[in-house]
Amino acid sequence: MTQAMLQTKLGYQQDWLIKCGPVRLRVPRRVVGVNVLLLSLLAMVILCSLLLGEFPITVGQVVGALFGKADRAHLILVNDIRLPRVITGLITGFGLGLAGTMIQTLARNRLATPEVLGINEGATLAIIVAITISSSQLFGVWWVAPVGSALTAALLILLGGGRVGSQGYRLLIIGLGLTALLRSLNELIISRQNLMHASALYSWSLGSLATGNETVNLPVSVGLLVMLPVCLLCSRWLNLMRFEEEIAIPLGLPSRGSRLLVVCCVVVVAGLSVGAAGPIAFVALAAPILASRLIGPAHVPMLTSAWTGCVLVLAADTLGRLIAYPHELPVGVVCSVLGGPFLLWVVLRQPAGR
Amino acid sequence: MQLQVNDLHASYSANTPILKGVNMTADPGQVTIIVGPNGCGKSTLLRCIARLHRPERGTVMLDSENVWKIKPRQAAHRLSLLPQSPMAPEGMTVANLVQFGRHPHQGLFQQWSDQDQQAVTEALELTHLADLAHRRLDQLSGGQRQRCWLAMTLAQQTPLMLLDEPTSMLDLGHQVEVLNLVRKIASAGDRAFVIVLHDLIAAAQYADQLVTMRDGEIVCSGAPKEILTPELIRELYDVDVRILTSPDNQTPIIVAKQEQLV
Repeated sequence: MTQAMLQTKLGYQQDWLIKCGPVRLRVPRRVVGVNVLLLSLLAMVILCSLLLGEFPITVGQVVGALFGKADRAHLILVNDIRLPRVITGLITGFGLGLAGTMIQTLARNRLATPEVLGINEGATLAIIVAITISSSQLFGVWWVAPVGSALTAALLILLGGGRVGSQGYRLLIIGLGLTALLRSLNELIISRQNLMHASALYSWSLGSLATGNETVNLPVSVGLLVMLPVCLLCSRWLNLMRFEEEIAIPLGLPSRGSRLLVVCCVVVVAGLSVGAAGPIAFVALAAPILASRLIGPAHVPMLTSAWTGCVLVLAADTLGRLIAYPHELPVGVVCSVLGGPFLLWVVLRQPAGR
Repeated sequence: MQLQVNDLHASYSANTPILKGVNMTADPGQVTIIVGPNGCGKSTLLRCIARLHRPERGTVMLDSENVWKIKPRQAAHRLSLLPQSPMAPEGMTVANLVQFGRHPHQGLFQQWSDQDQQAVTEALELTHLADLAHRRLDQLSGGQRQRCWLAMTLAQQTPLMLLDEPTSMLDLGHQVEVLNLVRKIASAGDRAFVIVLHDLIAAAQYADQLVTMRDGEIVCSGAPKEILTPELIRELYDVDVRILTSPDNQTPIIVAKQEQLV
């Protein structure tokens, strides 16, 4: 068999090999194609999100406003009301997609997501407690969310016997218990507030982009930008973590260090997302699964999953604003409604015995 | 690269030692096969060598390096493991899997070299998988899948290869094929093989060095022809056997004695 024939069979010819000095990158065409498609879709969703709403506005006016060339009303509507909300949606979706794909891979279980393991709920509790104690505004305390998620993760690992991964099932059960416990604590605290305060807190605790604004968006996006290269550094390890230890360690996975770093990334990224928009359900579950279907089984989707998360959050938010007009459904509620059937699909699709 | 195991002690819980001071060596170009009854610690020994289970005492040396003291990635350049009944992530193809063998040789910015290409191609050809390279693993038979995992460990191109019961899922034809392949690679190059095997006949036929274990200790080791006696087998497995010799190459063949039922 000749070399050329083998190359076709192995699928190397579907991959681009970029050589530049000592750097040799192998870029699968499928991944590039999928990402281009996803980003175009994302651009469309962003545009829809800016266009649709109570006050109709044309594409030309939106573009004009983004470049500062529009009348005052449109400038305020696009740049001060709708754009911050879109940005909050983008960073939240990005964070949830990224954190979801990492923790699912680490636990080797599709159902292990920050919301199922209680990490999101812990971040929510931290914020709710901070707000009630300091009586500050909802968007003033975004930074306690990663602290809450870190504490929850530490508790989770402690209860799990000091180890993460390699026993995905046990971790899931403990996580489910933690989630229920933290959720009830959240509701208990909310129920002690006066009606107006409680209603705002409650809608936020379901996950909502309505509070999105620059004071939160800026620090959270900076945080995510700092975490992104660290997460991408983990991607080689994550590729190995899909195998059992018996395969991964002899292939060079530093088992303890790599797990710890991945958990830290997940905790910070998921915590930042919650800090921006509350614990939005379903995105961290769905985005990695969809992304993985799109790019195929050769790699763990990282950026692909993050873009998918962006699309899901923004689409759900836009839907939530339109579906019950003139009221709006929090994005978390829309996601939960869509997430139920999706979860069933994930569970039922798996062949028995796996 | 020579493997040297010195006074290895290991256990899973405090009061039940699995390995009680194991000493063994494996030389390059040779096939070392470990046999012994179930639960004698042979898989644990392999796990200790492959850095999966940390021994309590003793050392595992590759030439002059302790495998437990070098970096994971360096270790992956020196030894590879084919575990018992491994599982692959859903949907992977044969080519996807075999390429993972090159993982320790790659980096964040060195994702595919000519050596990677060559090693994968060679591994696929040696295991006769080139025609199946694009197929999904879950569509293959158990025997074909086992050859894929073997190809992955071959692509890793390590001087020491550890195989944990590589033939347990295979029919006779594929068993012979896999062991012949191992024999061929071992005698051709300077790779050392350490294999755990249940099949005594195959072990006697393919081993340069046979290591026999019982209750976490080495009973004896050496060339199969020299060490295999009915007394040794009795000591290992508590059964009475006869030892015949193969008409082909005079290797010992072990058959259980017919038990008197009355």
